Amino acid sequence: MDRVSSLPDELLCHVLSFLPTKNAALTSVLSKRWLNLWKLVPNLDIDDSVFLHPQDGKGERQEIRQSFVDFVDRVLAMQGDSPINSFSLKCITGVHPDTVNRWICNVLERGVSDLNLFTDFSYEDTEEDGYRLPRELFFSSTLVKLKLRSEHCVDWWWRRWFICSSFFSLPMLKSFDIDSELVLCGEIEDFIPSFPVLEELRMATVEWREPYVIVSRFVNPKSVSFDTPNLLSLSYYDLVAEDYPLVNMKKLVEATISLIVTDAQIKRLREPNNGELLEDGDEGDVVLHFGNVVKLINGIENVQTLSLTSDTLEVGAGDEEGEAQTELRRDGEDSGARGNKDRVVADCATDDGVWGGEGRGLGSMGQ
Amino acid sequence: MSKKMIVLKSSEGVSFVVEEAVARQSKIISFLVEEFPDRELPLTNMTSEILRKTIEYCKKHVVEDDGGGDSSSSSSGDLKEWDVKFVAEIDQPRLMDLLMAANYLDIPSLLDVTCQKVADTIAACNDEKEIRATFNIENDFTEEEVEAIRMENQYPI
Repeated sequence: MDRVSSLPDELLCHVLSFLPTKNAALTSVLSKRWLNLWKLVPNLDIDDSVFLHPQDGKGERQEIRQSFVDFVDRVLAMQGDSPINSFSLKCITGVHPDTVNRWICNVLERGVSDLNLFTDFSYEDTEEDGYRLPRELFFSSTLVKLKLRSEHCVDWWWRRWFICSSFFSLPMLKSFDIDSELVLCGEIEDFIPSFPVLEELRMATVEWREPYVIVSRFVNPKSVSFDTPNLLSLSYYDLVAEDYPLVNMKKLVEATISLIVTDAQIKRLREPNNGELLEDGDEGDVVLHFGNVVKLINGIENVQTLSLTSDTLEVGAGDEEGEAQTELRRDGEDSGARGNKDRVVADCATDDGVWGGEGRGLGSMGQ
Repeated sequence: MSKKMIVLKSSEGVSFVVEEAVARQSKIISFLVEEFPDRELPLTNMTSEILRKTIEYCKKHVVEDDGGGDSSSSSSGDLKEWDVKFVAEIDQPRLMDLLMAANYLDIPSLLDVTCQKVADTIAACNDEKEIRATFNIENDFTEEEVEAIRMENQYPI
C-alpha cells in the first residue's frame, strides 16, 4: 500500500481535519481505505458560497440549495453523536434559519468547542424579527471559541424577552468575536460578566441599547466600563463614550482602540477657545466628557502593544490637553525603554493624520 | 550556567547531542529524560536523516527560558513562514517519515505542520484522479462503485 494510505486512521483523520469538508468528502472515492475516513473527522468546515452562482436560474439555485441542505444533513447524520471539535459554517445563500439552527444545535449537543458561524438569511425567512440564534448557544458548557458574523445583524440580545438578567451562561468561553453591520448585545454591564474566563473579545460595530436613551449609531454612549481582569487582548471600536468609570483590565497585553467622533465634534474640539462652548449646554458637555478617555487609557497601563487611530488620540488630547498628552507620550517612551516587544502603533485613520509611526510623534496630535 | 545536553541515537547508531530544552518539545523525550537522566536515548525507528530534520525543527521552535526578557528568537509570523519553507523543501516520502516521527515523538506542532502540508497537497488537486496520481494510491473500486459513492458523498456543485 502507498505511504499515505498506510498511515493509521487517526493520523489520516488529522490530515483531513485541515481540509474543508468539501475536499475531505472527495477523498472517499480514492480507494476502499479512504471510503469512511472523512466521516470520522471531528472538524466540519462547510461553506455554501462555493456553489453560489448568481448567473444561474432561480429554480436551479433552489435545487442546489436543497442538495446542499441534504449534504449537511447527511454528514451530521453519519457522524451521529460522536464528539466534534470545531464547526465552521458559512451559509449565505438563503438556507432557512430553522435548518441552520438545527445544525448548530446538533454540534452543540455533541460538545463543539470551536464554533464559527457566518450566516445571512433572506428577509422572507426571518420576517421582521430578524434571525435568532438558537437558545442552546447561550448555555453551552463546552464552547471555548465563538465567532459570529453576519452582513446585517447579530442579535445576541433577543433572549432578553424571556429572562431579564444573566440570561446566558458560557463558562468555558475564552474567545468571542462578533462582526456585523449591527450587533445587539444589551448593556455591557450585563454582557461581559457572563463570560468568566474570557481572554479575547473582539466586537465590531456594536450598537449599545440603553433603556433610558434612544441610542442610534450616531449618538455617543454615556458610560462604558470594562471589568475584565483576565482579558489579554482587546479590539474596541465605538463612538467615544462620555465616561469610562471602571477600567479593570490588569492582564491586558494587546489593545486596538478606535474611538470615533463625528466631524462636528472634531471641529469643536479644535476650536482654540472651546472652553466657551461649555456654557452652551449639552454640546459643550459632550466635549468636556471626552476628557474621560484618559481613564480608559490609564486603565490599560500594562498593555504592551497598543494601536490607536487618529480620532482616539485627538479625543484623548483635546480636552484636558496637557494631562492626556503626557499620558500617551509616557506610554510611548516606556515602550522604547522596555525593549522591542512593546510598541505603540498610531494608525492614522483620517487624512489629516500627519503624526504617527511607532511610538513617536504622538506629541503633535490634535493639531 | 551551561546548558544541559542530552544524546539521541538514530536507528543507524549515529549520536546527536542536543540541548535538553530543544529535545523536550517532544513529550516522549521529555518523559524519558526525567525517567532516565544522563542516559543516551535510542530512537530505533528513526533514521539519522529524519532525526536531523526533527532536531532542526525543534531548534527553531525552542522557547528559551534564560530570563533575559526576549523569550523567543523569532516572532510567530516569522516562524509560520519558516515552517512553510521547511515542509516545502521536503519530498513526499520524507514528509511521511517526518509526520510519523512527529507522531511517535509526540511533537504536536510538527505533526500539525506536516499534516497541513499533506492536506494542502490534497486540496491542490483538481479531482480524485490527481490525488491518486500524486500519492500513488491504487484505486480498488469499480467505476460503478465510484459513481455510487460520488452520488452519496459529493458536495453539491
